Amino acid sequence: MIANDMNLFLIFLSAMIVNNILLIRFIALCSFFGISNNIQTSLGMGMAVIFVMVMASSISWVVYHFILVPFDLLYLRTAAFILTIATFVQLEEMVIRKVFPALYRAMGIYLPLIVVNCAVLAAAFLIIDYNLDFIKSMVYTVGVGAGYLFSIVMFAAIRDRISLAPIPKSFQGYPIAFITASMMSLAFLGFKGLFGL
Amino acid sequence: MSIGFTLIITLIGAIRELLGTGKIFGLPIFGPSYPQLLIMILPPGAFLVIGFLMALQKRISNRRKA
Repeated sequence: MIANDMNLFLIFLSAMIVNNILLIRFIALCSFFGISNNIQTSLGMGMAVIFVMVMASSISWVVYHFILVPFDLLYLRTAAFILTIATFVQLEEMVIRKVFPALYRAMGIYLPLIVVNCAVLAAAFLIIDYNLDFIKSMVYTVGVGAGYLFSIVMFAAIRDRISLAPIPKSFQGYPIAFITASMMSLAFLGFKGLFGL
Repeated sequence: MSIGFTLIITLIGAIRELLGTGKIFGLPIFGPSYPQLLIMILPPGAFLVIGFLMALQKRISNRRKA
């Protein structure tokens, strides 16, 4: 379990590899399967998720500790966090549309879907649940985002190779993708218990 | 749509429980000598079951088309 007295590197490692958000925790799988048919797009998506995640969880950490806790409004935390995330995704959508038009077209529906991307909300909630201080929450959030980026890019690369492989007709497309994800998840499970995380 | 979700998630849960522990809804099916397939209880099992169910569904719809 993550605690406040762990060092930063262990927190990062735990968030990125040992408790990988996609393959061990099963969060944010819609974009994992939806967008991973192209390495370039999944790289863009991973970067976008890291950006939104860091922004959203830093703001929501501040909102939680300086607004919700002092005014005893803990029951509003879901609404407050979702509002924060939605604002940042809107902002990011505008930036990407202006700066990287090709990426914007490639990501299509999945870009606004970051709003409801459970990974972003999960990161915001987990840092509150683990009761981390600000620096550690940021390290943890970057770790979660890096884990997302790492596994989605790896998965996209594997799917690239699979598209050329001879596989039975009923397994083509998503079924083989799920089985690949299962094998990757098995590989990540091998890290379980590493350094007692 | 939500009924379909409920059915599928129950089916996945039943398959994972049956293969993983040899029980279904807590009732033992295969007896105590069943070697428990731990992978089905762990996260990878879920992906595996979903993948095979999707392949099955694809096979059925392919055959119906032909």
